[in-house]
Amino acid sequence: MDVVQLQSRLSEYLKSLFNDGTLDGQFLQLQQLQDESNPDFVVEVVTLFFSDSEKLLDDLSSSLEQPNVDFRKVDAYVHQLKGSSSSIGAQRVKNACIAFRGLCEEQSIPACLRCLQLVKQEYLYAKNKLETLFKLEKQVVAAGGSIPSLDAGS
Amino acid sequence: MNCASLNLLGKKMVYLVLIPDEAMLTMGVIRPKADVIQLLLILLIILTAIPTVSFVFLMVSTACRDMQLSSTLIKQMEVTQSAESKCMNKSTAFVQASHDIRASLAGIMGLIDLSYDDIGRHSDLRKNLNQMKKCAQDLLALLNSILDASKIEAGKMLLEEEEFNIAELIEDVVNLFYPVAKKKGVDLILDPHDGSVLKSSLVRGDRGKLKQIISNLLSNAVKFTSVGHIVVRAWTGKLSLDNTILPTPPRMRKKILSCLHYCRHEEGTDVLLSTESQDIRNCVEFFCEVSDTGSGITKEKRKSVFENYIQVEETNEGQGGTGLGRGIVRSLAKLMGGDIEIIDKEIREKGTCFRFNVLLAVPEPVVEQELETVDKEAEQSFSHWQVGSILRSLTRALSIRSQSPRRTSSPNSEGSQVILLMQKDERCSVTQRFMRRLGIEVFVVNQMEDLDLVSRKMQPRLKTSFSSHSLSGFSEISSKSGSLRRSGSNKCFPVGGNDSPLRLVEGTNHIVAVQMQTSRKHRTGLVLIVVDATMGPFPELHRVVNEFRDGIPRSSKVIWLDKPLSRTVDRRLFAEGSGDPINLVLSKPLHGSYLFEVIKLLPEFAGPMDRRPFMIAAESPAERASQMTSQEIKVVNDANPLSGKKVLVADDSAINRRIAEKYLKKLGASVELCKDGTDALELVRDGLLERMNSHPSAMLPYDYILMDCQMPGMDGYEATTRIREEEKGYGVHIPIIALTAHDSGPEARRIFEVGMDYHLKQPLSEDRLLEAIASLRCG
Repeated sequence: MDVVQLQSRLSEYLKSLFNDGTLDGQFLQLQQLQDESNPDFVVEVVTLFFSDSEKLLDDLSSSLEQPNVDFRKVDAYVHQLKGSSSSIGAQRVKNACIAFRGLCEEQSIPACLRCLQLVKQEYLYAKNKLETLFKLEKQVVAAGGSIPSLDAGS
Repeated sequence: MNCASLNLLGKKMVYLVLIPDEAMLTMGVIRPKADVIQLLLILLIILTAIPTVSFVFLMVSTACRDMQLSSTLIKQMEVTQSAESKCMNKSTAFVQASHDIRASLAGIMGLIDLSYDDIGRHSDLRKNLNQMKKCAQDLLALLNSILDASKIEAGKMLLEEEEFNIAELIEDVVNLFYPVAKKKGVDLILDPHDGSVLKSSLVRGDRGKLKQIISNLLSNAVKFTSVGHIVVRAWTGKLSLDNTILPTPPRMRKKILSCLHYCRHEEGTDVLLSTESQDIRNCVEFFCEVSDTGSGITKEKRKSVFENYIQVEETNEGQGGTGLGRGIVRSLAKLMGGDIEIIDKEIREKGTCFRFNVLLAVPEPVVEQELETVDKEAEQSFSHWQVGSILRSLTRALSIRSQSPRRTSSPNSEGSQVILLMQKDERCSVTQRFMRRLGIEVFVVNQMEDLDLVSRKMQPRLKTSFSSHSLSGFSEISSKSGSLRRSGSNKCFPVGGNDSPLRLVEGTNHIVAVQMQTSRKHRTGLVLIVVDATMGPFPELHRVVNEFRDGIPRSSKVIWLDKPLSRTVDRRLFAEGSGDPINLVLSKPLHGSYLFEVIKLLPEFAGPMDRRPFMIAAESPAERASQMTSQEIKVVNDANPLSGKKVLVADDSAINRRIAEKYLKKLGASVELCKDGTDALELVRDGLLERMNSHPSAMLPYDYILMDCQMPGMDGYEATTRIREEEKGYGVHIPIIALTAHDSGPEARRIFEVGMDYHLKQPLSEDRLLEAIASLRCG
């Protein structure tokens, strides 16, 4: 495939991510922050997000499996996950976290466990999508093109 | 000879015919003469032949010798030329290599800087990195001196021209070397001398080279002095060709031109071309002297001191060096139209004294109105401009003083008095001399216990001015002073009738200005006590000083000079409110602009726009210039609204930290990251302390703090509370921006309760960040 085709595939894919709510405007802001001095900024931050979130999810699982669940701790973890996901623009993950926090207030363990599952699912979905996105970007760059920038309107 | 017989008439006669042989005849007669003549002729020929021959011989031989000589000369010239060109080639090759080395060194330093980011604060690796950086910097300095020397040799050293403040420059260099000298136990003193440098401190010239000269002299002085003091003083001298700023007649100008031309030819290097234009009229000769009490240089060695590659004195610690420094210094001084020499010190003083002079152009004197606007703009921070305005107002005061001898003639019982309580050393006498020159009455006390004696010395004069004031007036004042009365030591006895109500509110800002106007009539002076806080145990000292102040009937202020790093002054003993007009703490050394600022506290010298007399409370002169070596002043760029600002980001999430950092860097700021409240507090605390001691021009270690509210350990709220507490001790306020999702409710209120200044919602966005900065700037 030639460069132009690759680029159009990339932008289509990115658009789809916005359309289904996986990513929001914050992701675009991150892309705008990327420049020649930090050409891999977005990848870097998202990778950080992945490792951070995985750790948080593990912590969440283990704390919900405790005999005496400390809901404040759980809330704190969820708050963190919410913060980081909103910072990179992982909208669906963020929304799931917001829902989770509401459940924490009710302090119902089964509900929390179910919500945790939901959060995990959304996270994996987002991770998958982002990884594909980066792969496409790499292809474009390897073919000699530059990653087209998307403005918020399109 | 013929003999014939003849028969004549029967008579026999014999006649003899004697025919002499002709030849024999001539020979016979002229023979003796012919000999002589012959002889003479031969002689003559010989005589003429000899000189001719010898003459010819000489000519030939001279010609031969000539040819020989010229051939040898040509050979020699060729040889020298080839040697020179070899030398030049070698130099160029060296220079080229040096440039490459310099590039690599710069690369290394840059990489070291980058590596700092990944290191924890107190790890060993960081210490090692610091050491590496220092070594790289040393290498760079050595390399630069070699390059400079070769540049000068090649005649390619050009002078730049810019406007700068020479008094400030000298002070900065002194501040730069002060800590190093202090570590060795040597006091580095800046002597304002006669204050002449202040009068014409704005000059045009090559700032960098001048700084290089002074730095080199100072570094040598520090290197070779292990005990005693080093004094730096500067003054202006009269330019022999032109004293005034009046326009010179054309022939004078030509004289000057020719003089400069002569200088140029002498050196074969380029002299400031601009001096050949109108600025010639405004050339001022600046003299600067660096005098130390080190090992000294013997007379024999003095000649070779300025030769390249010769190091004359023995160093105590075997410090290295190329020996190029002084040679470069001399070349630079000559380039700037001056020279450097070693001056003989007083007989019993040991050490060396270097004096150099340069010619600098002084631009047209600044108009008064300009000064006022400059003062207004400079109020923002204790920046260089403010220093300039301080100096200018001081010089105005100086000139006022000198123009009104009537005021200075009397012992001035109404004038201010200064008491210096410090050790009897060079610094003390320098300060004393300068103040006396300004017409201030100075008393020096070398021991705590002698303070009483001084008060007695002062008393008789004060008593005469203690004109009767009505008690009713006093009671009126006492009601006003109710709020100002502190620990009973703030008794203000008004001196001079109608000024009395004003004296008590001395602490307030604008009154000082009013006082300036009124004080022209009634010289109500102030007693300023400058105390070296290390002279004795601090509580004791404090007590003695307070007793002294109680004993004198005039208002007084105390300036405590504290050691920069180990604070001996305990501020808690100053039982004062937030106004704090009485006690000020400054870091040693007290010289330069800080000295002037202190002098300005005296009402006679306070400038009309002096609205910040007490900001110096927390600033110190030492090492202000260390900033300048690494980064010269950053130009504020509107496209980068945070250009030159330092921001601290406290957030436990690595992602948020990274993103915030990127945003801020994009806006031009330099960023520091930390991951919880405890770290943030520590950073701020250390930063404030460090700034206190070393970077007084930028009081704030950070221009903004982005604080995440929810963090494990110490959260944002608590951290802010503690930071605000720390700040109180320094009288500053760092804008803190809260990062939180709560924008209403009790959490939101808490944000402002703990003292945060603004609130941003996560996630960060550039626009909102800019908005926050903008509103914090205006607010």
